[in-house]
Amino acid sequence: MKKEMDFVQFWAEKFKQNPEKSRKLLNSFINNQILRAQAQLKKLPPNKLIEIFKITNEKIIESLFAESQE
Amino acid sequence: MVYKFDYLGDLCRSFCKIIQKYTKYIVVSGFLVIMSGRSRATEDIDIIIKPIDLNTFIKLHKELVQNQFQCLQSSDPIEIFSRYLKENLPVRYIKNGNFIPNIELKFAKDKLDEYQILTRKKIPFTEIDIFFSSIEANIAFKEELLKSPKDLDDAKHLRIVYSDDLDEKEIEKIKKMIHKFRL
Repeated sequence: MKKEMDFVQFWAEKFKQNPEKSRKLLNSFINNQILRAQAQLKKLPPNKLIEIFKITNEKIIESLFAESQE
Repeated sequence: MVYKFDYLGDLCRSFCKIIQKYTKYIVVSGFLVIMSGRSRATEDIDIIIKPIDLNTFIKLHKELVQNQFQCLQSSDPIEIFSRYLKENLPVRYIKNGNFIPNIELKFAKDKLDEYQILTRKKIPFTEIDIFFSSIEANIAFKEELLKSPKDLDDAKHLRIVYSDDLDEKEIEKIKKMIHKFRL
């Protein structure tokens, strides 16, 4: 029977062995994810952003609608 | 592509640099796990602070705003303080208009939070000069209170990475406190 690979254990051990190299890879992965998420959020209309992030700050709401008009 | 900057780390450092002038803080949960090498996504950084009075919070909020932070709930510090923080509700701060990543900020609400602040630590392995709640506290919360698959994997990661330094008695002590104050 094939043993299922435990990714959490594999990565934790790899990171512990070589934190410097692994941290560079990890930062790159996280930064890419954040940039991708930010790009996706920019495509959303103001109402969706207000709903997702439960925004009640009127200044932010105003600026979101102003930006969407541009 | 390997980035020289560090989105999450820079956001957290800039926020904590301001917070520490006004009160004691701890960074908890996902951000600690990621800075300890766990490869997973996060949208926010969770920070608990020792409660402060309104006047101190007004100064703190003002400095945050001067440094391009905005609160998603309100731009009025009196409202943020009285409607949210004082009622033990979290608020979120964003920087430079980016909704991700953001900071979730809340007041310490019970003895368990106070204990975490009392036993806060800098953790050199994370390579970031900020205060975290202890590794033991994070493991205890994830194994005893949160318990989602993601949280259990986080705890497993912390147990492997910090296996040489973990205090199991401390983990058990905090688990008992979780039962007393949260369950």
